[in-house]
Amino acid sequence: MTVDILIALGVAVELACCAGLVAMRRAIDRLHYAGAATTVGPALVAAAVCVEEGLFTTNGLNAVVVAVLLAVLGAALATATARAIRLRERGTLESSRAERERGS
Amino acid sequence: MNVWLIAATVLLAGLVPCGWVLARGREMDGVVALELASTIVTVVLVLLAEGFHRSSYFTVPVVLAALSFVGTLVFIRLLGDRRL
Repeated sequence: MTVDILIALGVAVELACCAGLVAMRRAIDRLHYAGAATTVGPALVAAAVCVEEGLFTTNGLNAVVVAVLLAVLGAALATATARAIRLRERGTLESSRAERERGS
Repeated sequence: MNVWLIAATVLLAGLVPCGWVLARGREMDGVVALELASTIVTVVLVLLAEGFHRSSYFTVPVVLAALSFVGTLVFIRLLGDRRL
């Protein structure tokens, strides 16, 4: 029962991120959903595998490794993508005067 | 057909919106959609490996998680410094 709930939640989160990808209009907004999909969904699926098989088994450890890889590398990828989007849209990574005033 | 395989099949439907954005969006939208698609395929492969009860199948999503990172970085490097 716990396994079923974890799997259903993991799949639902991933599908919600897909819906968000389509619903948003700008690439930087879509990136938020792609980033969320690398953390929550894989972690729930890895938790389901660990509940089913046990943490210190081949399957359990492999699922945890996949979830950690996706979370860590996904964060790095989201940062690199955001920088590239900013460079394409503004031509520089420096914040504008209006952005600096908003931030203060 | 167990719950793992059903979940993998349902999750495959998530590739449709990614494909739509890849086909219709601009370049950086496509890169973001590619990131999400690789994440979904990795999770699907985990679900399939558990559904088939083959621990050796878990090697595939581990390798994919690492390689999709490198592949997407290449796209970002290629497209990132080009102006619209």
